[in-house]
Amino acid sequence: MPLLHIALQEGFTGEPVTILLDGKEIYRKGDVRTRTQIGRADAIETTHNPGPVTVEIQARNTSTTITPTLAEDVYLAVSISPDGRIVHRSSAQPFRYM
Amino acid sequence: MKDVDPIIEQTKGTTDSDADTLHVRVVSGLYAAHGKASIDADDTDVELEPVAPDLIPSASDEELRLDVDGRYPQMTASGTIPISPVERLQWIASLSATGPYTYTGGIWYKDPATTPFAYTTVEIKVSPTILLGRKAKVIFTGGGLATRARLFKFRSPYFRKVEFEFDAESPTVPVTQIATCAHPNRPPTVACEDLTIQRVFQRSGFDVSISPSPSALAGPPGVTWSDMEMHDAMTVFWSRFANIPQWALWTFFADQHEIGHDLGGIMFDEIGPNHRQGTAIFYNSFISDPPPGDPNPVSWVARNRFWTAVHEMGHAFNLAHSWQKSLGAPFGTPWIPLTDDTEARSYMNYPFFVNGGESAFFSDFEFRFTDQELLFMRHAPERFVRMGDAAWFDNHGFERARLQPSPSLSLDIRVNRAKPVFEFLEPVVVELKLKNISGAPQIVNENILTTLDGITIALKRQGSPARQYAPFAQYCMKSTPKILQPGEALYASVYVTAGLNGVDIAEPGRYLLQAALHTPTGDIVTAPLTLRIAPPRNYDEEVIAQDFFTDEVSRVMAFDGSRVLGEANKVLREVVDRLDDRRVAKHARVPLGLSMAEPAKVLSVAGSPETVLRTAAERGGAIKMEAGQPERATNELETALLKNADVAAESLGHVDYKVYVDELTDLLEGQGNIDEAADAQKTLYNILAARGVLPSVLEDIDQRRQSLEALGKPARKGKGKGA
Repeated sequence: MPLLHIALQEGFTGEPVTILLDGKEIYRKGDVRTRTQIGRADAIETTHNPGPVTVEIQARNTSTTITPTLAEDVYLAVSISPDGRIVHRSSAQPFRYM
Repeated sequence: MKDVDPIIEQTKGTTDSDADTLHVRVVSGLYAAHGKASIDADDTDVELEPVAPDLIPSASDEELRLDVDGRYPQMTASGTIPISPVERLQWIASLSATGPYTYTGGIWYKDPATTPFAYTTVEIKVSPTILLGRKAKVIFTGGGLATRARLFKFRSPYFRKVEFEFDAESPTVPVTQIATCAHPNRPPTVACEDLTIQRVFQRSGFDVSISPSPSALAGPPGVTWSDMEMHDAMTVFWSRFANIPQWALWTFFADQHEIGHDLGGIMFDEIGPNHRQGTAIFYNSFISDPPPGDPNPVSWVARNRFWTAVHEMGHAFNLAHSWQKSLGAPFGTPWIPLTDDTEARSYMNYPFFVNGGESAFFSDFEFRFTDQELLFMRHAPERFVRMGDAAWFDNHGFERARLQPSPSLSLDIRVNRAKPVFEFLEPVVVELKLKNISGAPQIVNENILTTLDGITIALKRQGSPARQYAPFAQYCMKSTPKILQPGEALYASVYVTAGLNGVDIAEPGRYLLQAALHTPTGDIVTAPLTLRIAPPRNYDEEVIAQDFFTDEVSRVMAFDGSRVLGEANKVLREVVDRLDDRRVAKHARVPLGLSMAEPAKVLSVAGSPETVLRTAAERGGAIKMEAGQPERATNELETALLKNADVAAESLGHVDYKVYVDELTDLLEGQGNIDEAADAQKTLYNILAARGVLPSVLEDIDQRRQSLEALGKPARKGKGKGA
């Protein structure tokens, strides 16, 4: 089964974050904080049957829904933009930090 | 062991100009002036004392860092001047050459800004001869002060001194040197040489020594490292470890971090009070994975390991990633706004983040930090850069970004008192001054300082992250063009104690404030202002502080009163009753008085708050007029403003003091107390005149007083006659 890697990256300041996968909660933490020296706060990995999947990210009293289609492994980077929006980008390659 | 002395360093194969190709620091470096080194500005032939042999200045030394030639010159001079046994003033100037070994430029940074060092321009003339001892004559001018000339002796071609220790988890073998041309993907102009980490930082301006006591640690195979474990290892294995600010850094080459293969390295030390002392590089990570089909994978890996080590060490110098330069509170401290530099070919960028990815990055990477990063490392106040000093990411934004090269306006942030020391509980009101410093009229928005539109104010308590001041209200006013004549200025006061971020200035201690005005052609930035909040005088003040430093009271203070925030008004009344001899009582009386001065509209909604949210209209709410209590208001304001008036003007600030006395005058005039109204203006005049306020302001006050007195004379005559 393909891997779904969700990385919480820039802009987290210690807020609670919840991640739902197809409506089911797979991640909940109350103090998610970006470590600026690596641009990363946290990450979660799961596997999923190939096909479309719904990922809902809840943070800062707002949420965003992403619907990638899993065929190969998918790496999803989620950040909070300076104006407070939840933004994301996906990649077929693992994210790298230093 | 020294690598290469930059005085004689030569590189080959570059396409820079001939002067730059030699990369010779003829005059750049660190200079020092001992105790009484003042000279006449015209004196060009001064005997020198023997040059001190080391970089460490004595307490009375004045320092000069001249950065005009050699590798990556920043055309900058900076200096430190002892201003007390424990404190130094730092100044920084941008230079241009005006002749052989002669430079001049404006001082754009002073820290702390409130020291009596108003000089604006520096002129530097260097005698480059080595035989007689290199020396630099520095002449400070401007600011209405007498010319100040100092003679400095050359001490070192480097600006600062630092020690690195490279330890490793066996069998990891640290890569601390690479051949710059080993990999074919490189800039055609890069000099082919064996480049060491030591030399990278030497070229950045540091006298680098390598600890003679490296350790190789044997760990159980297959075990990863956590940050805590690395910090523990640092305390044990680093020969220099002391958990104090010092120019020393531990770099650990290990197998893998517990995050896994995706983490190539980390400046792990944000633990405890002394950050940035330790970094780690992980060879069992992606940095050792060359791209498929790479023409020279061995040199690719070596370069990546080398690059990552310098990157992490850059974090230890408090350098942020290239795309984080603008990142401010709550993460760090952009003293002045910065722009991100996402395409920078710097050790501090991620190569795979730039357009075209790693291949594009390394095809254009010259094995260096950016100019802004070098400026920071060479010239920023020591406490911003030195390991173990400022917290990680705190002050990273010191670098100048988009500063106007020749600004026509200057922005100042200041307080109207000789020493920027505030009593505990005393609200902090600062004054912004925007002045035309050009020789021609300038058009500005008359309301710019009132609306704070395009102005950022940063506040920082010593030892804490900086915050951006967020006022309770952002006024949206029509832009009104105003012509500022040369030398003319706009003024406004800002209550910075609290805002939407909460209470920013309350605890005793030192705070730094800095403001920036953003314009299309660049930013105009104030010098930082350092102020101090004194400790509480007694237990009463500590107790009241718990009620005083709340959002509700802060709002009443910011808006000069409230009819509905009753609890806040109770606290202010308690302040007046219990702390009447303290300055905070004057601040408390102003909103208590002004809120009662006139009839006021109040939204009245019957009943207690409901759990079901309904509009005020649905709940039968209405706007009602409440009567004023002008006599009570007058009493509060007279006590606040006219009793110990000099203290009131100093504490409330000149701008607000005038506004409040004018309101009191209106109030008195409205009550028919013309003589008292005129007296209020007379007091205002005398106080502000004694405090050196502009003649044009005094003239306005005097005219108002005269008008009131003219009104009052017939009344007095009438009374007299009538009697």
